[in-house]
Amino acid sequence: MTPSLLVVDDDAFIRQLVEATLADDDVHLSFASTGWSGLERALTAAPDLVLLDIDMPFMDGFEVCKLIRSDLRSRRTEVVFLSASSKTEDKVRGLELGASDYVTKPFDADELRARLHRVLKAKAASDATRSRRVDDFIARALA
Amino acid sequence: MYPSHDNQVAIGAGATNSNGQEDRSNTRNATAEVVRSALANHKTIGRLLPLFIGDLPGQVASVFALIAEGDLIAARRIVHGLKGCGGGYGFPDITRLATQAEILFDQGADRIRVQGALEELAVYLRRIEGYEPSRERVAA
Repeated sequence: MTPSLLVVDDDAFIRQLVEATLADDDVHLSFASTGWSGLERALTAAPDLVLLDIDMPFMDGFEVCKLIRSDLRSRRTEVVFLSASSKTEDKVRGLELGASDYVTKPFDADELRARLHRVLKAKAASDATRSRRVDDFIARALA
Repeated sequence: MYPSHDNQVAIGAGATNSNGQEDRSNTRNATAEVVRSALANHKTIGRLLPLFIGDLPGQVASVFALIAEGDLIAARRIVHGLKGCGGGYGFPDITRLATQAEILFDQGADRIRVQGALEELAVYLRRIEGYEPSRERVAA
C-alpha cells in the first residue's frame, strides 16, 4: 500500500521543495500550511507520517506533535520534524515529544528521502506485526 | 558548468556565479556580479526557481518595512524562512546571511546591527539572476 505523508509548513517554498524532492517516490503527499490545519488533517486522515515544521504562527510544531501523539486517532502516525532551527534543545525537545527524527533546513534532498523512507519502512513493519497479532488474537478467541 | 540535473544533486550545494564558477565571494566585498542558483538546471528545483526568486523582492521590502515599524517578530519570521529555503533552492549564501541576521535578532542586538545584517542579505539577493528590484517598490 502506498504510504501517506502529510507536510505541515507555513512556508509555501518549503512545501514545494519537499514535493519536488519526493516527486519520483511512491508516496501519497498532502499539505497543510498552518499548525492547526495540519493537526486537523493528521487527526482525521491519520497519515503514516507527518513532516512537521516547528516555527509556525499561532500553533507551533511542538504543540502539534504533542497533540498528535496524545490522540488515539493519530497515535500510530510517525512525526519527523523539519526545522530551520539547529539548536540542540529543539532537537532534544522534538525527540522527547515522540518524533522519530529531526531534519534541519536547508535539507539535502537525498538525506531527507532516506530518513523519511527509513521511518516509513519501520512503520510498515510495525503495522504488519501488529496486524498479525490482532489476527492471531481473533483466531484464538474464535477457536 | 552547472551541476547535472539528476537527483544526486545535493540541495544546498554551492551557488555559481554567471561564469559557472562556484561563488565563494563574501558579500562584504561583493561585486555586482550576477549569482545563479546551483540548482538552476535541476529537473524539478529549476522549475520552481522563478517563483522563489520572484517572491524575494516582496520579502526584502516587507522585512525593511517591518523593521521600520518595530515589528521584529514578523521581520525575524521572514529571515527565518529565507534561512530555511535559501540552500534548498541552490543559494547557500542566502541561508548563511539569513542565519547571521537571525542570530542578531535572537541576541536582541541593536537595530543598527540588525539593519546592517539585513542590508548585507539584501545586497546578495539583488545580485540573483532574475531578481527584479522594481518589485520591491511595488511590494512596499
